[in-house]
Amino acid sequence: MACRKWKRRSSMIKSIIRYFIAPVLLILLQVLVLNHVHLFNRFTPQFYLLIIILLPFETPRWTMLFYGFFLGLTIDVFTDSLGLHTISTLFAAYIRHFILQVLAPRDGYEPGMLPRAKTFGFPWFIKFAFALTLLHHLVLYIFEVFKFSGIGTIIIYTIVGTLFTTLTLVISQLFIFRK
Amino acid sequence: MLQGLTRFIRTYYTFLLFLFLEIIGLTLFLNQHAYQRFAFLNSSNQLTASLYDGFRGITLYLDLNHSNQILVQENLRLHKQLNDVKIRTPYQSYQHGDFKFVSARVINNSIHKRRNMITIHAGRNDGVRPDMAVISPAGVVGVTYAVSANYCTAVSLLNEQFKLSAKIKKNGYFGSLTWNTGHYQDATLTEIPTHVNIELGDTIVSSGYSSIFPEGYMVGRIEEIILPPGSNFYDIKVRLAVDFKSLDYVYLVDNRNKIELNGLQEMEKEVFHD
Repeated sequence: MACRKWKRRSSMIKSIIRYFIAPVLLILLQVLVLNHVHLFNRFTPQFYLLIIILLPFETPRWTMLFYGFFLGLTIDVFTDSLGLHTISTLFAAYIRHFILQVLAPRDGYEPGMLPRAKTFGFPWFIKFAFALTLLHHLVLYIFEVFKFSGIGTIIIYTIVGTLFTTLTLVISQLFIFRK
Repeated sequence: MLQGLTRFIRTYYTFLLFLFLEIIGLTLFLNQHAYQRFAFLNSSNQLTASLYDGFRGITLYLDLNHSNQILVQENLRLHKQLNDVKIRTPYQSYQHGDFKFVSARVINNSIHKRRNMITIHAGRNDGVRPDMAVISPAGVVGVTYAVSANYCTAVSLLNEQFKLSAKIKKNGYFGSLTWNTGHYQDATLTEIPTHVNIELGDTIVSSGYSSIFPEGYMVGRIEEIILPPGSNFYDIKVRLAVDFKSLDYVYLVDNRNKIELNGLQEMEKEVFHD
């Protein structure tokens, strides 16, 4: 009896950490540290996408949308780029469902599983993170360089930025040892 | 009919919700006024700014040496100026009475975006209003934009939407200065006619013709002079004096006669353009 109570409480603590504390820490890491990183004087790793990536498979799609919207808005408030990250992160949150469908293993995802490299292997995670980041960065750079430079610039920025961000996302998976 | 509509909404509700939220995002992105009007949507809000402020308090020690150097240099310059003023007639310095100065610390700054903004630890309670000039010991930095109780954000000179009225110090010819959106130290001065005598290394200062910036604050030096074919005006590349990479202490300058000045300029517009 006591054991079951303890189990329930520990899983509650776990989800509080996972869905409230960890995202806040990741946002702080993004705005206080990573936003000062500029590869080739331009590319900042948009590491906060990890929050969207690591949400459980069974997250309702409307929750995903609100999550993406408010996550992007928060980043926008910190970086004084009102709307830019809101648009792109919301898009990433919307498209995640379809990417997961394409990448699904033959017998589908089991409820309670998390989309981590530890569970599905690095090749799967790299594919997933790369696709999500690519679409996010495409929207991000379309709106950022919007009307000033041509499609060529947007494509080059998107590719380099995506590679950089994906690299940081994959590295993050090396730090998750427990299943 | 109604049944069909309900079925449509039920089938596509995620897509419709996505569209709805995306439209909100786009409205925020395209609406310039939203940023300024709602302080909680930019980094001058209490939570964001105090976070930046606290973190800046830690990293401040890393470039203390450099900031001290800049402040010492400025002290030296001010001492010299003070000396000059004492020698000259008292009328020379009375103009500064028109301006009010507030000193403040930069708590967040960026240089790699196209629209760079600066978060500053001074707000309404310190007498800060939108459209005040921001200068550092080295020269012109930007203009305050959105103001909350204790913090404000300023449009950096490194912002594609920033335009500064600047002049060549030695002969007073003035033009408009914009950032090149590439490197954080390069700007372009345009509208200088070709008959004007200029040389590399000439000093560019603020002209004082806008109601925001006082006259004579350092902007930068001429690095390259380009004459576009068929044009009567130079494109002058300017190396900015302020090192935006290590911005620390700034002054906010309030032009007390600004309302009067703006009123006059409005009147002028009405008289001459209608």
